[in-house]
Amino acid sequence: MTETLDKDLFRRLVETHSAELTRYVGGFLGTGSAEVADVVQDAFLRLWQKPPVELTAPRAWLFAVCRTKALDALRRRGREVAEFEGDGLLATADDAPTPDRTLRAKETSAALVDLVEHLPARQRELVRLKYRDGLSYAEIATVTGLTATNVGFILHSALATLRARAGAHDALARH
Amino acid sequence: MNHQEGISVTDPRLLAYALGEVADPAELARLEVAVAADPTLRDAVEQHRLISADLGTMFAREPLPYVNTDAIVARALGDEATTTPSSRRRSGGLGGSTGRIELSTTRRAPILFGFGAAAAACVAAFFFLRPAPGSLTDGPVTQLASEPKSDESSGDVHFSPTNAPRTLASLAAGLPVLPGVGSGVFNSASHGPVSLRAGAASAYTEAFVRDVTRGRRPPPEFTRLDGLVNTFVAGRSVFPGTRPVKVEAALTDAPWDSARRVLRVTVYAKGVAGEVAARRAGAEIRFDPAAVKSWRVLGYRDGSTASTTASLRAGTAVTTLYEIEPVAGSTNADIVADVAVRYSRVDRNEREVESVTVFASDRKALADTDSDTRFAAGLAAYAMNLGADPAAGLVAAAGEDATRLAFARSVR
Repeated sequence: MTETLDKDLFRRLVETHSAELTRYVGGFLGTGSAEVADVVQDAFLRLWQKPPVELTAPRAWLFAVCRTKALDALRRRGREVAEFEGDGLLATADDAPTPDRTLRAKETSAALVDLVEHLPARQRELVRLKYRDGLSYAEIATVTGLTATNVGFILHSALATLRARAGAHDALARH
Repeated sequence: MNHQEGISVTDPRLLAYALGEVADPAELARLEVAVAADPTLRDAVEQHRLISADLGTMFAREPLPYVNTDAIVARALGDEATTTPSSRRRSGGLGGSTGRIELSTTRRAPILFGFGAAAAACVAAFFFLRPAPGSLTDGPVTQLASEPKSDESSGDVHFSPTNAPRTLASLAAGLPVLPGVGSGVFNSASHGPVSLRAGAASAYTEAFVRDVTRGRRPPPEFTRLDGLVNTFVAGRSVFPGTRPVKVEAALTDAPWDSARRVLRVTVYAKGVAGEVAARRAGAEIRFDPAAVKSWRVLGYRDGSTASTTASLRAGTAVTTLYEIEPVAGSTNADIVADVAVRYSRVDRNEREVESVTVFASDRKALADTDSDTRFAAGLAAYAMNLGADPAAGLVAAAGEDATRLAFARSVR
């Protein structure tokens, strides 16, 4: 985006992205937190007042700013944010291939939601960015500060975790 | 392990390949050769696509929160921000990318397919593709100058319960008709082409579902059948064929009147979940007067003359419901409707068409039809009778789908 950030364009960005950004920030701070709206508001305020000179991917930029501000808010609460940083590769499950048919057999959304909710924080965030928000590897890299290669590793690990846990869940259910 | 290429079934590059995330052409070529040569790698890629489709479907059902976009804009721009016409639009995503998307007042010349010369006499209606919940469009936002001045023209849909129109079914039951549910008038076969603006799930729908699932009775003006249907008919990131768009139609009996039919038309887009799968997508449906005496769109208000196209994101689905009054004595061989969806692929300008023809013989009883059609028809019946037994048929229609069951049980 090289054109001037005029009011109409700004308004369109707000209308297009504010809800998904609110949902994303809620993943860090809790959906009921009053800080969520402040974080999103501040991100747009920064976009209007101090836009980057060359903003080619405003959506990824907004996600990145919201992420930074959300982690700042967590730190102010005294929360440890290391789980959202680093390459996230230490917190992986058994990578043994399990047929995805196991997971598909558990097709209820509730079960899959539960599995995703219990992923390590970094994996959970990337799964949401990829499959819920539809960001590309490159965009996720922009948002999180990871390399695109690391994004691929973490997502792959996340899917392996989901498969492994779905398999374990089914094994328990059979006994 | 594919030793020649050094790729094993646990290689993260296979997921990137499955998701279309391999940017390097040389790397992509290596992966394609390896996958083509090794069935275990092909299976691994397919498994990645399946779980990706599951995740895309799951997240597509996750509602977006309501956001007061006016407040954000006003704080950044100051008071002048609240005076522009577009400042009362629905917020993000669902209503979202909102405003108007590639609007145009031009009515399209009917496409002739399947009907031959008789098609010219058919009634045509356009319904407009909007993303399913959780997705976003990227079309340019323009304001339509000639758009009718209704309470929808601002993009903020509001109906007053006191002026809600009534349908035949609800009049018979002595019930108020919920706005946006049964307000569409029946159109006769002699009716000319009519454009109708479809609505996506909106913040109103989110609020409605949230209230119901929390055991609260939602304000009736929050009921938008179009939004509800699009909330519960999930998209598919994967389906057979090489084309990115698929159109599906199903015909069943109307739960509120066995003499009438419900036609469900759903447009799916596949690919990497969330990415734009098709641009400038627009749909057209023709009803054949030989088999259809009258019809109406359920869940949309009539009166709009605007037509629009929109981008479709992979993993999304857009559903429109029609209520049909059949012609007495029509046969199973009669064509009920032809549906066509025109679109351009992301990297091409050429227009492509996906179409489906619905025959009277395609009709299935409510109990025998597919789960999406059954539940959508159940939602329509529920919405039309919210004041009586709101859950009538809804639990049964939900089948084994956990999300639908939770909603239906909350209703009860």
